[in-house]
Amino acid sequence: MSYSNKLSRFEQLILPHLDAAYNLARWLTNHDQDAQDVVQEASLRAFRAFDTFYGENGRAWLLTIVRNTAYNLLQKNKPSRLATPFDEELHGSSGPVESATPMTLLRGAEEERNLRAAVEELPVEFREALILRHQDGLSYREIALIAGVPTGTVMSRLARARARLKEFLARGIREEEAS
Amino acid sequence: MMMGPFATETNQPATLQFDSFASVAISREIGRVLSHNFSLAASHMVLFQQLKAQHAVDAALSRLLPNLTRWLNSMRQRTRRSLKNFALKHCEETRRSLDAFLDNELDPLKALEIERHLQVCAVCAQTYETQRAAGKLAKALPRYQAPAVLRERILLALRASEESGPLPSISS
Repeated sequence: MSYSNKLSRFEQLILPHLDAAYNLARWLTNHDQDAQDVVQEASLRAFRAFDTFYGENGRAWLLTIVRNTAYNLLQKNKPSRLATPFDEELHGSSGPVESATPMTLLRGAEEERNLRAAVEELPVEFREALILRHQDGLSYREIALIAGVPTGTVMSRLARARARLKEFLARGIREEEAS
Repeated sequence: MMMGPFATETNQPATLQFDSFASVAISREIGRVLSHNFSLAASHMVLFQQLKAQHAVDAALSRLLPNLTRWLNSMRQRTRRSLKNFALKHCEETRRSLDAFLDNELDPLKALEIERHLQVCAVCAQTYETQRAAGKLAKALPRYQAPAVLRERILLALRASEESGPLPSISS
C-alpha cells in the first residue's frame, strides 16, 4: 500500500472516530490537554499499525489504542491523575447562590457539574465502562475486548459505576426534600 | 282335689284338651311377646348400632379434626412459603439480570421473563426504575468534542511521520 493510499484509507476509516476517541480520552484523563496528547499519540500509533488492521470496526480498534495510551499516561502520572481526591470546593454541592440566575437553570448547571464530578471520582476502569457503554453504545463484548477483561468484569464494573450514580441520585432527592 | 287352671270337671284326661287348646294360645302369646321383644330388641339393636356408629364417626372426626386443621394450616403455610420462595427466586434472578436487561444484552426469552416479572412485582419494578434513572444519568453526561485543531495536528503529524520515521511519544 502506497503512503498516500494508506493515509486516505486511514482518514476514511479511522479519523471519523476522532470525537469518540477524544471523548474517551477526556473522560479517562479528566484533562483536556492530556486527552489531546493521548488522542494524537494514539492516532499516530494506529497509523503505524494500520497495515495490521483488517477489521471492520475502526472505532473499536481506535478506542482500544486510545484506552491503552491513556492508561500509559495515567500510569506515568500516578498517583495525581488516577483518582482525583474529593475536594469540597471542587466537588461539593453547597456554595453561594447568585440571585440573578434563574433557580432552575442554576440547578441544572450545578447538577451537571456535580454529576460530572461524581463520575470523575470513580476509578478509571469504572469510568471507562460507563462511557463506552452509555456514550458509545458499545456492547459488553466490545467493551470487554477494548478493556482486555472478561465480559463478567465489564458487567460488575458497570454495575458498580451505576451504583455510584444511584447514590448520586439519592443524594439529590434527599437534598431536594431537605430544601 | 286342687283345681288347677287346666283342670276340667270331666274325667276325661285333661291333657288332650289342654294340649289342643291352650298350647296354641300360649304359644301364640309367647310368640307374640317374643316377637314383640325381638322386634324391640332388634330395633334397639339397630338404634344402638346406629348410635355407636355415629359415635365412632364423631370420635374419629373429633380426633381427625385437629389433625385436619393442622394439616390444612401447614399446607397453607407451605404454599405461602413456596410462593414466597418462588417470588424471591424470581426477584433474585431479575435483580441479577436487570443491568443486562437495561443494556439489551439478554436473549429475547429471558428479557420477556424479566418484563413479565416487572409487571407483577412492585419491588423489582421500583429497583428497575432507579436503575434506569442511573442509566439515563450516565447517558446525560457531557460528550466531549475533539477540538478542530486536534485533527489538523494529527494530519500534520501523520504527514511528517513519513519523512521522520519513528514517532514521538508522550509516554517515552
